[in-house]
Amino acid sequence: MPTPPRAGYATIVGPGAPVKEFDTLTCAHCGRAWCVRTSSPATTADPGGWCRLCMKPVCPTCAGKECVPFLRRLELYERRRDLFRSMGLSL
Amino acid sequence: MPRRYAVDGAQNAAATVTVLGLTSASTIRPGIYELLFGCGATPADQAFDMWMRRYTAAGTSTGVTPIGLDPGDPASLCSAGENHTVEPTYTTELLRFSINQQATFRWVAAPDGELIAPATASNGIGLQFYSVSGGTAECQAMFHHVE
Repeated sequence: MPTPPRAGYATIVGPGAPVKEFDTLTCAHCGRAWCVRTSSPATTADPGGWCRLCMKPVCPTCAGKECVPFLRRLELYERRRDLFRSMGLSL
Repeated sequence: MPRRYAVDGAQNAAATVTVLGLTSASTIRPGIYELLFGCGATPADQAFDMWMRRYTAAGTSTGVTPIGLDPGDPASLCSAGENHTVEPTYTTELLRFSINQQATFRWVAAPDGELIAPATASNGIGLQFYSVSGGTAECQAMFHHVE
């Protein structure tokens, strides 16, 4: 899977070693960020998957599972909190 | 345009100890779009395994105030904490990396790829040591977030 041009970016800068650069993506379903490609050919990285419903990258854990966009998950979580609060319970 | 803030924290290295936590509020969904982590202690060979995780209870910490990147913005609605005496109640992992003590780590999110916390009080995202190879060097972290 080619890294989308709007990927995130991570670097590790340290003494005595070249700068390590990574492209990162954020899962559209769970919000997790992961490295998809590195400047080191010795490092293998899992490219994750692609959701054809929300047309966004998903992490290896969410690949192949039901499409529940992350913002939808947040809304469900916040609605559950409101329901619990209306019942006098804490989440 | 969303408001942008920076907040930093410090903590002596130890396994399962939080460096910096950013806690949401019931009116906003903060999104962390940049993370910086490094160690200002005397250089030594020590390894840190770090992870960013969600939490549902913020624990007890020394408060640090997020500073607006635009001085014209109002104060942040989030709260943040360093030097935790009671760890947050963590749930899922969001980002993980391992570095040497002498290295510096920086992560910038893809646009729309921020680490977002729910609009729920006491919920948030923290940077925690997963494991430390030895020593208790003081480390520093900085989050930039939008809300």
